Amino acid sequence: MNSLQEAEEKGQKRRKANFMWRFRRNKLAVVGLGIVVLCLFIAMFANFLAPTSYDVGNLTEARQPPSWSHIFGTDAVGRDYLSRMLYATRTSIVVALGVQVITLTIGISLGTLGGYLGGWVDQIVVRIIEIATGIPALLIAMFIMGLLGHSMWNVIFALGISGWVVETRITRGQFLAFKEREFVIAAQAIGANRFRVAFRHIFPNIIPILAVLLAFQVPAVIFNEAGLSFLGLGIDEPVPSLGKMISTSLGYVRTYWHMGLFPSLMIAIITMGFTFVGDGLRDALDPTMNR
Amino acid sequence: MIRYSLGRLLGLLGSVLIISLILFIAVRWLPGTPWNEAEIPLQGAAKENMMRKYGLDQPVHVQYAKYLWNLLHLDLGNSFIYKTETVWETIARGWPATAKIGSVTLIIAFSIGIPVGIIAALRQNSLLDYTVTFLATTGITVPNFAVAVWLVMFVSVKMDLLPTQGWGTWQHMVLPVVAYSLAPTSLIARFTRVSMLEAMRSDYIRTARAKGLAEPVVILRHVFKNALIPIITLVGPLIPNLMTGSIFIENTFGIPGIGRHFVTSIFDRDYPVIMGVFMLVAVLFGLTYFISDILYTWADPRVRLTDRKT
Repeated sequence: MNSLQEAEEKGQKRRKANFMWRFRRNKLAVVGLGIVVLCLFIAMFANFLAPTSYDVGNLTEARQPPSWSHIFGTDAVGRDYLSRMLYATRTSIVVALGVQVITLTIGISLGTLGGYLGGWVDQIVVRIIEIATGIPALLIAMFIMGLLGHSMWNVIFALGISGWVVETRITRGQFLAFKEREFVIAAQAIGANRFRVAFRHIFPNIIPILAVLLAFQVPAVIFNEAGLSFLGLGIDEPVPSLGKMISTSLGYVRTYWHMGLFPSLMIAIITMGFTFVGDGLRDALDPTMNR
Repeated sequence: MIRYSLGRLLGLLGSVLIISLILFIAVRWLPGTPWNEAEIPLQGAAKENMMRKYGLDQPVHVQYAKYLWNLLHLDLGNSFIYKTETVWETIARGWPATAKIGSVTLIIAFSIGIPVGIIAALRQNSLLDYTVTFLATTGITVPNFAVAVWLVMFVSVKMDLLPTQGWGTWQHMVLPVVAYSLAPTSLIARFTRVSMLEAMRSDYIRTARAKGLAEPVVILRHVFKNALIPIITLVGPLIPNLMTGSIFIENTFGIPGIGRHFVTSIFDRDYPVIMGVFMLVAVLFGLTYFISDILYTWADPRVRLTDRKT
C-alpha cells in the first residue's frame, strides 16, 4: 500500500469520525435516530410484537378504553388497538420506503440525464419538471387512487409516480455543479466514458445529499399516505393505516378518546423522528449551514 | 421584461395544455364509467344513450378537441353527478369557504411567523431560539389532521368551548384555522430565521453598522429587506397551496370547501369537475410562480429575468 492510499484512507476515517461527532452532538438527532430504529424494528417484527393479528376482532369487547388486557383499548369491532397500531406502523414504513424506491429511481435517472448530458436533453427534463410542478403532488396522487382503486401497492405507485420532482431537481442541480469540477474533467481527460464518469466519479458525491433528502421525504410520504387513507382514498380495511384509524376515530371523538389519541400521537412521533434525523444529517454533513 | 413575461405565460399555457392532455387520456383509458353501474346497472340502449349524452361515445381525440374548444371559451362543462350544475358552479359553491380559511390562515402565518423568525434570529442560540426552532420543526412535521384531532378532543370535547364540526359562524373557523396555520406559520418562522441569519453575516451589514446606523434601522431596512428575498420564493407556492390544499382540514371539520368537493368528485368519478379543478389549480400555481419571480427582481435588483435556465 503506498503512502498516497494511506493518506486517503486516513482522511476518510477522519471525515467519518468528524461526521459522527457532529451528528451525536445534536441531541434531537440522536433521539430521532432512536425513534427511526424503533419504527423499523416494529415494521419488521410487527407480527411477533403484536398481541393479536390486525384483523382479529371480538365484538363483545368492542370500543373498550385502555385496560390491562388491551393496553391501548379496542376499536369499533373489538380489535386490539395496540396490534392495529403496530401493523399500521409497518404499513407506514413499507409505503414510505416503497415510494422512495420509485421517486429515487425516477429522480436520479431524470436528474442525471438532464444535469450531466445538458443540451436538449436537459431542456426536456426542465420542461418535465415544470409541468410536474404545475399541480400539487397530493392532488395527482388522489386522482390516481381514484382511478386505480384502493390498496397498499396502489398507494405506493400513486405517491411514487407523483412525488419525484424534488429528487430530480436536486440530482440535476448537483450534476450541474459537479460537472465543472477538476476531478471530473480529469477523469474525462484520461478517457473514462460518460457512464463511468457519471456514476463512479460524480454520483458518490451526491449520495450524502440524497440521504438527507431521503430523511425528509420519508416523513412527508408517511404524512401523505396517512392523508390519503384519512380521506378514504388510501388503504382499505382490514389492513390498518394510521390515517384511517384517525379518520374513523372522529366519529367517536366524544366518547372514545383513545381511538383518536393513540394513532395521531404515533404518526406525530414517527414523522418527527425522521425529521430530526434529517436535520441532524444535514447539519453534520454541512457544518456551515446554520440551524 | 415584457418579452420575458410573454414567454413565461406561453410556457404556462403549454404546461396547462400538456397537463390537460395527460389527464384526459388517463381518465378515458381507464375502465369503468362515471355511473355507479354496480348499484344501478346500465344496459344496451340506455347505456348508449347515456354515453352519447355525455359525449363519451366519440373517439378520444374528438372528445379532447371538444374539451379544448370549450376550454377556450372558459367552459369547463357540466358536472356528471350534479347534472344541472356547471363545473364553475360546483367550484363557486366550495370556493368561499376554502378562500376564507386559506386567507385567514395566510394572514396568521405571516403575522406570527415573520416576527417570531426575526426574534429567534436576533437571539441566535438562546433558549428562546432553540424553543422556536423545535416548535417550528414540530409544526411543520406533525400532520395537520393529527393536530386537528387533538384540538377537537381537548378544546371541543373536553373543555366544550368550540363546536367540533360545521360551518357558518366564527366559532366554526377557530379550530380549523389553528390546525391549518400551524405548518405554514412554522415554515415561515424557520425560513425567516435562517435568511435573517444569512443576511446578518454579510458584509453590507457590517458596513451599515460601521457607518453608525441605529440598530433598528440596520435590522429592518438592511437585514430584513435582504432576508425577504428568499422568503418570497417560499411564499409564492404557499399561497395557492393554502387556497386549494385545505383538503384534510375541510374533511375533518366538515367544511363545505373546494377540497371536499374535489374528494367527492374523485369518489364519484366526476371527470369534468376533476379536470376543472386541476386546470384551475395549474393556472393558479403557474401565475403565482410567475408573480413571485417578478417580485424577486423587485426585491433583489441584481437578479435579471432572462430566459429560463432553472
